[in-house]
Amino acid sequence: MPEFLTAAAALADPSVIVALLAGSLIGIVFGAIPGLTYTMALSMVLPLSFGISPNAAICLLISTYVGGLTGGSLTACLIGIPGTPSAAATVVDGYALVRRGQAGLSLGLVIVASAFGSLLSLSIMIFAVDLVAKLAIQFGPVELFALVLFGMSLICGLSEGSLIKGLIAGTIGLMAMTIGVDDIEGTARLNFDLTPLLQGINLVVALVGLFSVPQLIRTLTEYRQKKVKEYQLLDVKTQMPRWKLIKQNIGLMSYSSVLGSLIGAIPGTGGPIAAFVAYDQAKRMSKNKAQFGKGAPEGVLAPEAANNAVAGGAIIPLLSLGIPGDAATAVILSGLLIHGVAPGPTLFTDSKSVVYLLYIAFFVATIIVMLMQGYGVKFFIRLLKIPPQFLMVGIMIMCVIGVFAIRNSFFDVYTMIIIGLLGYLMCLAKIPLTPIVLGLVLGPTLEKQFRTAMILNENDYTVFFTSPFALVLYALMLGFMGYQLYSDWKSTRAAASQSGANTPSSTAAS
Amino acid sequence: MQSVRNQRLLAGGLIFVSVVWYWLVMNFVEVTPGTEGPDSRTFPLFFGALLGFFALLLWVQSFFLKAPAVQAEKKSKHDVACEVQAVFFMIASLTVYAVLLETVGFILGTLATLILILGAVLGVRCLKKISLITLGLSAGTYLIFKQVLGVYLPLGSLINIGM
Repeated sequence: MPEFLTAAAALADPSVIVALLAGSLIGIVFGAIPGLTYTMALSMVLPLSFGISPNAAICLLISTYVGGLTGGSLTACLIGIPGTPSAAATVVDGYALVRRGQAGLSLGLVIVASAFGSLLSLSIMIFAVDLVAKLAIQFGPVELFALVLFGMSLICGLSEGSLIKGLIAGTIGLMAMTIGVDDIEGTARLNFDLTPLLQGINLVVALVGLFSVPQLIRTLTEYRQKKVKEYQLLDVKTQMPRWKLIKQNIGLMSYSSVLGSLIGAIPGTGGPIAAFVAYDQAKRMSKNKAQFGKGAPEGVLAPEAANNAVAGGAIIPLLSLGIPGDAATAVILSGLLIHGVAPGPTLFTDSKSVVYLLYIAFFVATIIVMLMQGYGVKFFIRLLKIPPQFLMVGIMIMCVIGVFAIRNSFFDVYTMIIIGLLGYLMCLAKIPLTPIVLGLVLGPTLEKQFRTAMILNENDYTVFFTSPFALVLYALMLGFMGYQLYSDWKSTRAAASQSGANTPSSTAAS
Repeated sequence: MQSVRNQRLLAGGLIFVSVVWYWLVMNFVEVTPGTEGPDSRTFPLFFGALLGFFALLLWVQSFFLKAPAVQAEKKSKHDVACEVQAVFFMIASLTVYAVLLETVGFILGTLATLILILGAVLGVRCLKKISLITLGLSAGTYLIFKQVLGVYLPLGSLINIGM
């Protein structure tokens, strides 16, 4: 209880409130504008968080995340283009309502379902995080090594189509993290007598480079190719759904939220899957199946509740085990680490007030986002009218100054530019970027736990196969990788046979 | 067929990186004498070897892929030219901005870079628009970083005004 009161008292600090408001706003804006992502928003606010207190920084990151998840639905409803992939399922019925002249109701449904999903997932998160952390507190170096190795195997789920390319990206992240002073022996590794490299590649610099620079290049490319779209935006006033409609669908929203939380807790899955599964389930369960696709309120409520509930689910492995499930939570993890908060089982014994602050920030951010979307629709519509190339210029300035501000170092700025260029080239080669972050974040722990376990057990490798928990994790890891390998192989074969069937010779033969 | 070739080129490039990495680790990472078990070189070497192994798998995989399955969408010459220009302009803009910040400081550096990007890269010809965006963005960034967050903004090594 005293820890909870300490965390609650943090809200009395004006900088924390400003951080919550700013984070929610930035999150909604980045989520709403097609092309910008909330991962990019998180990587952009990360350098900003250096100038504020750790409490305010945590609130800034969490509110940006919550705002970003919800923001994508604004454009999904208003212009039929999802701001984030998670909002893609909302377009079907959300935009159908707009075409029927019920744009206000469509937005109202999004706001109610988003808040409902977020809050229910928060309760699930509070319950589950504590439970998992209590189990994980008994871990030694061997179990922790197995756990991080298991976390690394999640790269397979984040590989975006090619397992090998995902593994390559993860390995590049792991290689990059070995640059700098070796924590155990104290020797410098691959710094080439450059003093700034003694501390290794700064995580924030890498994140800004990987997630912001490629996006800036893409925006400029679209502008030069004259592919920048001008949206036809309506003048909308939010109309909250009637209580009767909400009451009728509370069961559906609860079911979708639980589904979203569960899917979110599985690393490597995320919002789009949760939203489409929930939409499909809602359609199956509905008595008015024919209404789906034509503006059924259930078709908006279910995916919205599910994609927002993903946030709570994704934070469960992050807080309790220190394993991020996607790019956004990896950025949040980096932010927490930079501010001296190390997520994992020990977080609950060392700094419980931080955990409570995170819960409180999540709750308050959900309310702020709901109010902002309800009352600030006109502002967001005006913002959507700003040409993306001008937004790009602003983001570029913020990224450079933000990265410089971390250590007042121009070396970091040049490193960001190089990493950004490499990130863009990797995107061209269809190498996913998220596994690189996973490698960068989890790599140091992987090496440290491995070497600690070896030192403690007189360099006996068999120690890694003595813990039952570690063995279970290895088995899970192999199963997970095997399944991904099989899925990858199956989808490649399916694509090959489909394109084979489409070739002129096969068409003629048939 | 081009995508299959690209995949092989990528795999070859990564194998090359892996070899260079191995050479760098062996020549530039020192090991404390008397260390038993894993040392400072172990993990960098292992990860380098892992990259080489995955690159080899990627190369082998390219032989099993049917060409149409990995065929990339074709881009027009104009689109490719625009993309190359965009990469060049963005990296150049970022580098020029960093150099200007280092030499003439935040105020002059930001103003000059914004005018350059808006005028030369984005082709904005309206002076009013350029002035408005340049001043607005510079002032906004200054307020956020200097006044709200209390961050030190870059001071120029050659010229330094207003900081």
